[in-house]
Amino acid sequence: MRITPRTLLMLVCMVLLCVCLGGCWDYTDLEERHLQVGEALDLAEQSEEETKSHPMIMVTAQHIVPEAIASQKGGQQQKPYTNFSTTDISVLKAWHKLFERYTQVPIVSHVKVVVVSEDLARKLNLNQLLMDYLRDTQIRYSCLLFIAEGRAKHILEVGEDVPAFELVDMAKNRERIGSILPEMSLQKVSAKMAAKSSFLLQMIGASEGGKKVVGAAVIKGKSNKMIGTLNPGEVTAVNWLTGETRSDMIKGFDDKTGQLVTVETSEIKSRVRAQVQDGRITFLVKVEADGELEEDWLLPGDAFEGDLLQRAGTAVEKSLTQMIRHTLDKLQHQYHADVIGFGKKLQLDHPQVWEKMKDKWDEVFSEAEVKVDVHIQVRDYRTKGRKTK
Amino acid sequence: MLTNLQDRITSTQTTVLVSSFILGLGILTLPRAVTDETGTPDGWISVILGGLVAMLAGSLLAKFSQCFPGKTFYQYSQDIAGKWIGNIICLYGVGYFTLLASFEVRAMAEVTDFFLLPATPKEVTMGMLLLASAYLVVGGLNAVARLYEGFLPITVILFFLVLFMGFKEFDVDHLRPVLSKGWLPVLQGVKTTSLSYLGLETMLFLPAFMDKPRDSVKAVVVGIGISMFFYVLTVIIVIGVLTVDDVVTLTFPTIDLARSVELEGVFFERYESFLLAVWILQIFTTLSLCHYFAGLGLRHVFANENWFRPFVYGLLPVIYGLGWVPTTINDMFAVGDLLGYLLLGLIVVIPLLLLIIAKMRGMLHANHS
Repeated sequence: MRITPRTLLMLVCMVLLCVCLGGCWDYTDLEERHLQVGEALDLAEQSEEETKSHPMIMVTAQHIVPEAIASQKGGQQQKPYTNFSTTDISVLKAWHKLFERYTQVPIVSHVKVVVVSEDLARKLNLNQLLMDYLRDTQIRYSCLLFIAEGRAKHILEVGEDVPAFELVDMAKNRERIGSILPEMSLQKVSAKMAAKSSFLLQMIGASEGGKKVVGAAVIKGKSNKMIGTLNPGEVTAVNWLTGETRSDMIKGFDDKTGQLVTVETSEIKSRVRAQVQDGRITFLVKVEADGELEEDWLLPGDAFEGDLLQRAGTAVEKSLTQMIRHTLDKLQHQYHADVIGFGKKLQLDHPQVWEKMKDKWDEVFSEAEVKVDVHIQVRDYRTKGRKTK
Repeated sequence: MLTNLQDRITSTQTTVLVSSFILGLGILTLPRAVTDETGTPDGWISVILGGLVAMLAGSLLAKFSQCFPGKTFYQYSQDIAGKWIGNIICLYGVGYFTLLASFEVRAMAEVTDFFLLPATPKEVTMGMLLLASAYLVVGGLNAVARLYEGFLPITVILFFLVLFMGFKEFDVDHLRPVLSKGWLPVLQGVKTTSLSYLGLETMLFLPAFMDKPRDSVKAVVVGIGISMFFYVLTVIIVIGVLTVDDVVTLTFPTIDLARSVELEGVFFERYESFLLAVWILQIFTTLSLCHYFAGLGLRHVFANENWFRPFVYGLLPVIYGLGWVPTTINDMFAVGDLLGYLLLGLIVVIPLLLLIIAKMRGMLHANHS
């Protein structure tokens, strides 16, 4: 082939273009990037003048330290995370002030949890407070939201591993526990707030020993503010009503002997129907489950013969009904908040009635009658049936 | 005379062209647009009804084009209405396609900037897409159709992958109660949804290129049917996951669907990247076909067969510049609404006028035989 000036020019261009293919001009070490995995929002001290109209908010950002995670097996004592806090009246601005301490712009697309302190949730409308998180294109809609009992910052300070990751695992650990609410992602919270319906958020408490789920925070739909709490027993009742529990241990007392029995329940089903008669709304709740007798203090206890299985079933039915009644009473008459989703059932069964009621639903719900029917069938007693005196 | 006779497309290719043209920005915003109108979870019914309306309109346009075999809209409008009025009609078409191209390319740049490449200047993403489009379009309609045939399966697979991942969060109660407020809200939604099938105007041109123009009705109905399937599935899954109340607050609900999904044990997150990758393919298909029709129109107005290439390249700065005219994202959405009205002019007003003139001049009969 003869080399013409044209081919020569092409060759030179091709060689020069190779310079652009270097690829590493935009290179940064993973260790140097600030990978943010969690954020906590607290109510800060009110001191500055500009806080008259707006409360000061403290933003704590949690970053992981990749070297520490990598060297953890070697037994080094470096914490796998670092926390930074600043305050401002604007959430975004406070977070932005943190940039001054970093060497790189943080990456927020792996933020897994946002923890809001109880006092902040009681004071501010969550829809306003969280707007930046809902709007941001980098923070994912699947990020989880929690309310902290006490300071939110503490939640991100307690733990062996990265606290933000531990929170995610705790929130999803519902295999055999009925007292943990289904985890609430930003997407679910956003949908609840858009529908102006009341809802529950998982509540986390931290102490010296560690952190744990301590129940749920009740968020009122109209104001999007926290108005109260449910303890783990009450959350259990809510989970039974919504059918969100997979399996759970329920204790009760035998009628005849007054002794304690504990049953592991599974196959939990809940059905809610709405009835409207002369403008009065009644909800018929039917909860059904299978059970296995696990623990009983009856002496002598013979499950091979007699009605022991049936009595165990009745015992836990009674205690469960009591829990549900108590929780419903609290939600209807103390908080006036339908966090169970009875409104949706009414909408499905009687759309026209719902249309008329939906603007004042929480009030109507407080007046509504709820009939609860719990049925638990205890089917077996595992490997040991008889206990002699 | 002006249509290159070698540049023929098959019926299947026509179907692919129609459905690729229709799928564009709408797939990201449709769940919000339709729910805004209906206010109930029944948007998917509106999408189906809108699709039927679009099929009817598309078939009528195809029939209309069949009255002038082998001729595109640009050619027969001049034949019917004379050189001057014909030129004005042609320029209307050119203007419409240029504006639509600029809208699509700007929307692509905005969404890419939000979710995919925040550090890359929009000028670069827009420029890249436009240059690729020009390169494709000068190859003729057959080249365009062949490329789209390759794109469609990729779109189907990746798009469904993302949609079905959403099933983890799907709750059928979010779509119920069905028709709680009757048919009225649903019919109101049809206004919006039938315009989301923007793309059936290609039927004014494509029959002239088909090797079997008789199949054009079938091609447009199937083409719209494919996009209808995409649209219905998108609306159902997006509303089933995000709820009606939240969907109306979101700018691009379909992307938020992907952002809501978290799969454990899978190495990567951010499934919206897959969605956006295929979506950009679909934006590109709309853009380049618009580019092609605009170039075709200009070539016709200036009646010079050799000028197609310069016109295609010459349109690049025009499309790019028009893309920058809307300053805010609301202006951009307003351009989208404007395009809906311009579309009605192109597929309803002008064809009716042409029909009346043709009837008056007694041309329709002669050509039909």
